[in-house]
Amino acid sequence: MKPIDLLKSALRSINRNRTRSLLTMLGIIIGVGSVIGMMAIGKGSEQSIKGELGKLGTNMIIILPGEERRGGVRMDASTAEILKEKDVEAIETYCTDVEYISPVVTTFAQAVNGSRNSKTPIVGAYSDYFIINNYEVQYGQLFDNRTGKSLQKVCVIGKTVAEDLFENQQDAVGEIIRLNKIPFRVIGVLEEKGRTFGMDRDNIIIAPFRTVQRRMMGVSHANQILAATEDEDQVKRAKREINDLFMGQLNKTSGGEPMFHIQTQKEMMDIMGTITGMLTMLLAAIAGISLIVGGIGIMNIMLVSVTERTREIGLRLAVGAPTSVILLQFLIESIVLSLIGGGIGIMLGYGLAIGAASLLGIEAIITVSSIAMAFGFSFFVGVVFGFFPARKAARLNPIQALRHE
Amino acid sequence: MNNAESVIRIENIEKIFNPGPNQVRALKGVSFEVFNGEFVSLMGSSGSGKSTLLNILGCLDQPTSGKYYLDGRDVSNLSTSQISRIRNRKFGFVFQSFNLLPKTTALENVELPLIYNTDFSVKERREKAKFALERVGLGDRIFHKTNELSGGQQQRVAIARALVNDPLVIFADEPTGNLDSKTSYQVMSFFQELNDQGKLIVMVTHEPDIMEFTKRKIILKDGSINKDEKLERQLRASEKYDELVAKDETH
Repeated sequence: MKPIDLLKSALRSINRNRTRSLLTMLGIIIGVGSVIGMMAIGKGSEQSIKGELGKLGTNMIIILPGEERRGGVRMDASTAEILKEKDVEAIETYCTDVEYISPVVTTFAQAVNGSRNSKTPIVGAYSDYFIINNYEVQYGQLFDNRTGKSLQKVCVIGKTVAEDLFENQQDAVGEIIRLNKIPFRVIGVLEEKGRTFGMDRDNIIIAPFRTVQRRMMGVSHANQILAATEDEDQVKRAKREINDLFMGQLNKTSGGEPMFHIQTQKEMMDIMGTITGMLTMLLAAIAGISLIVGGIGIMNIMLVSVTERTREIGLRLAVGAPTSVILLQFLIESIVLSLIGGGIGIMLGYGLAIGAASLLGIEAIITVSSIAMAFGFSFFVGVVFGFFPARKAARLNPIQALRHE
Repeated sequence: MNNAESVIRIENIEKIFNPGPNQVRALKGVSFEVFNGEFVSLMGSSGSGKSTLLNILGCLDQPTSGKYYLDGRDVSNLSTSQISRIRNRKFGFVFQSFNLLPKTTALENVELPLIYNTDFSVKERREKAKFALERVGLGDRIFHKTNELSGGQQQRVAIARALVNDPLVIFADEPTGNLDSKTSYQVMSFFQELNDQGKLIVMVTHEPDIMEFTKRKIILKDGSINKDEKLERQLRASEKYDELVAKDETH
């Protein structure tokens, strides 16, 4: 029997019982559809999370006070105040892979302009802070490196703040606003950044580090140190350099344990990637169970089909069909059935993913590999669950099969 | 007798079903030879073993003991695939209940044996099947579905299917059993025509008047040969058919 004959015979037999074939395929359709859908949504959300993190800058390194959080959070005052401005100088001197660096203090203040006011987070930082966080200026200018290290009372404000405090945003430049009653001159308005993980990145006022640290907060430490490398692949090395410096020369340890914590944006992304990847796999595995159920449906119907067509099989054997060809005929029938189901399932899954993704506000990502996997699985299901009925057909005794009523 | 000439030679064929205390000895040592150009009817009451013998001759079943030489070759101990090949190349089968594929055209039904012979291309297959259908007078119905055909026509499709591979032997198992007299004569006249052209036919029947169209009768009784004789005068089925048609017209 030529391959084309086998395929034709399979298609004819599927076509002969159209309703039954479709119902049989339903299990595979739902199984493949949900696997494809889950994977598409999973990949989409992973991409969206990575995108959000990417907006924060992938080269970023964050140095925080405190221990690695082993054995619960233990943050006494001495640990919280561990980061100093001179540590920044040390990093600049010794860590060659660090390109941009800034100490950061953060507080809240009531920003007042005449009758208008707004409760706003205030950040004290060097000018590198703008580069590390990709802040660009819309009106006016950013403060330079020298100003960033000074005690000048100037500030750059985010779009939300500018809208809250001024009639027209461009009017803000050159104006004096009061932050906790201290007058600051606005020198620039930042370009809109939008939201990241639901946080308004435009509701911010950035002023020189020491101005905020000493004049507003009256402290001598930094809340964190932000650094960045030129290239993404330098991040790992830079982190190690900083770690070595802090553990060694600067000796920021307590009983041999570090009193600081270094995070990189890349690590965060990797962790998020792992979590979403695991979730995707879990969902796909659950959906995969329905594939097995679908396969059992196929096996069931193929067994019915073999019984129904016992006489036909007997005749085929009588006219000289080799048992291997009979086996192949039924096997191909179940594979074709399963693959057609898989094809419909892919389309269904794609449709579901697009629908669900638009509800979730993410993008559904269908990869070629997920389609190949769906077809591969359908084929596998067809072979595995078609084999038993096909073998049953091939093992029929022609005489008894011909007498079958 | 010259062994090389016999197409079928069986020696002491035995068949036992359900070996054990409740065993059934369906055939108790049957031997005969069949030569080219013969038209043999196997007769006997039900339970005589005639169908079992036909199944063994047609390689659909294997004897418990004894030897079967087909065309001089021992086929008693062949593998399943070799036996499939013999059935496919050397035999044609006609059954009582036609055994056509449902909802399939006459042409596709006749093509069926050739599908399992990779020597033929799709085109050759089609042409041979068409030719076989023309031989049984159904050249104008090749694309009819089998369920659209009458009983006689269906059996003719089955005969065409048995002819299509140009077999050494045609085995027929009660081919007229499901047909009325007129159609039976028609079917028998096709068999006689084929036999006239030299085709060897072995047919199981229990109807004595059908047996009269053949050249030799082998009567089985309780698993053994009771009688094996040549028929001196052979009736022509086409004449009987014409008589019946004439009778119908006078009524």
